[in-house]
Amino acid sequence: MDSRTLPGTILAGTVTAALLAAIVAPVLVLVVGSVLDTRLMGVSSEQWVPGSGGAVTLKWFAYVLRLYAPMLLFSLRLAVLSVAVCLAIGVPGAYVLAERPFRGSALLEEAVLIPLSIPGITVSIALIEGFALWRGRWWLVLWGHLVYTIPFMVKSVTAALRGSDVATLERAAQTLGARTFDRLRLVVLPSVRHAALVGSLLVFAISWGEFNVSYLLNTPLNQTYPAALYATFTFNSFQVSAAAGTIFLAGVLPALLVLQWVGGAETVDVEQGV
Amino acid sequence: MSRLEVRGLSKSYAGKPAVAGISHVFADGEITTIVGPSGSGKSTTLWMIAGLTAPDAGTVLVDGADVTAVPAERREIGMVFQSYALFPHLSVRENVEFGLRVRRVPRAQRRDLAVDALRLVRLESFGERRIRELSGGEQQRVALARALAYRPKVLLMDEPLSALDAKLREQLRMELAALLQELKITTVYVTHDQVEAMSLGRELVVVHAGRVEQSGAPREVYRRPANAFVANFLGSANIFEAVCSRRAAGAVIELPFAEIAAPEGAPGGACWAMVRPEDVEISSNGASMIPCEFEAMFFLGNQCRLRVRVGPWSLLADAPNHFTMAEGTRLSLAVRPGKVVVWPRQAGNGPSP
Repeated sequence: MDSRTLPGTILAGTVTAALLAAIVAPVLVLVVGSVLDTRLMGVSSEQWVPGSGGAVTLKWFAYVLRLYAPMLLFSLRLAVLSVAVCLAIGVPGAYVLAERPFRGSALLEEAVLIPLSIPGITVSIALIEGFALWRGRWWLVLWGHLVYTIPFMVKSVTAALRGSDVATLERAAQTLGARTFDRLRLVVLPSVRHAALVGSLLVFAISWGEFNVSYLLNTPLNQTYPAALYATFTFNSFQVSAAAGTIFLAGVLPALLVLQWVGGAETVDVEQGV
Repeated sequence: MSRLEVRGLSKSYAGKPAVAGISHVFADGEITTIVGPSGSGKSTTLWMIAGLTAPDAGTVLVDGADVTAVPAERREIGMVFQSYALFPHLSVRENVEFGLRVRRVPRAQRRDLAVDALRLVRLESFGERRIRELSGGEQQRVALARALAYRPKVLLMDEPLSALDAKLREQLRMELAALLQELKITTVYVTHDQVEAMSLGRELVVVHAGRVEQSGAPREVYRRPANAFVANFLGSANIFEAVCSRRAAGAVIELPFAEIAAPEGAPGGACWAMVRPEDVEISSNGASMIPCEFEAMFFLGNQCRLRVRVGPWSLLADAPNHFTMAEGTRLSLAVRPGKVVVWPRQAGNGPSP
């Protein structure tokens, strides 16, 4: 491009590099730190000498996995359940809000979205104080996660329903002879499939990384992985923390990458007016 | 071929009447166009016929049977939407097959019928394309093929060409007219474009403020509009307050600036007199009778439109496209005999101020 000037290129390059460094560097430190042998860092009584064995080790991962397996499984279970409940409640709910509005449905839609704009700690305290009786039950943690994740599913699906004018598509299907069941099966579901997938990935990522509710509702028996991670950073060595952090990233990165990939397709669809 | 009739259809939204008692018997196997300005209730009428909007009052009859309470999906009335409403997740062929699929027509048979329908709109090679790969004109044709594929009794079209550019509209309009005449399917076509309405419809229904102003053959409605609204909506019109009086030599229309022979059956007394610009003859050699002053000329390609003045009154008149206005030319005009239309002067039937 001839509009590109040398100072402009240098400036853009510098800004990009700085941003990359700021975002990627901490993650890099975490990942690299998680596989380094302690001896390499001079904090061990043993000295690492070249040729005396690998400088890279996976023992921290083994240690973390052994120590935190229950928490990992609990977090995984919460994330999967959150996705399941969001699909079961959020998608039909979004359909009703967007396509079958009733008196007060606009207000309800606003109410569903409220948790997105209030601090997580408020919701957590509300849940603890409001349901003190059930403190320590695993499903209270799930409840907290749902309060945060259902809005994402509802928003994603209502946007898709309204954006592709599913109301008119349904009417077209109706004039072609499609009864309610066929309209849902052949028109509505295919129209929200993509938004539901995007919503599910978001819900998984959010539930997996959710800290506020998880930490405040934390009990030794029902501890989520992020809460355990916090404890690790407080009490354990750098290597163990780094390995724990890397495992945490490994859980959420695939979801985010798929989200990037399918999210791109969504944008193209919207641009082409489909 | 099916007979469609509506009786006293009415619909109000939030207390405001959108359709206020429309009755019409649609011609069997012909195209009827409903034309009117936006907000006149024409689309609401169509949606009530389709069963997508429930009327407050009135009935819809197909082949004499009252279908007012029958839901849209069981009316066998096809519809082409203004936005086409094609299913983006399905291919062209799957879109066209949709009406057959929900009727549980076997796969092989519905494929054949879809190919037939696509052939009608000359898109037989487009079956496997995605909807987003099609141009606006192609999407419009797919929407038509989809509505026709399951052989509905009646076809409704809601401003189907309004999203296309002028040249394509004209071409598709002619194709559509030929196709629908060949199929002999009872069609109700809604548009706000009077040229489209007149050229497509065997019959024309002019609606305004939720009511039928006039219906009939396009030529008849254009030539003999029932009131000033219809006259102005279907074309340009010169409308004057006039008086129709009987003279020894026969009835005459007293225009503010001239007196002309009254058309047959003209009502006596105070009336409105209407003459279209193409029926006002302009001459620059003084052969016509009424002297007038030149005001403006608009070159339209196939002809020239002039605005001339007689005293305080302005008139539109058409002239051939080779007409030129030399400096200082003295113009005169004449109204072609028999082309004046008169209505008795009543509240609400005159030109809007």
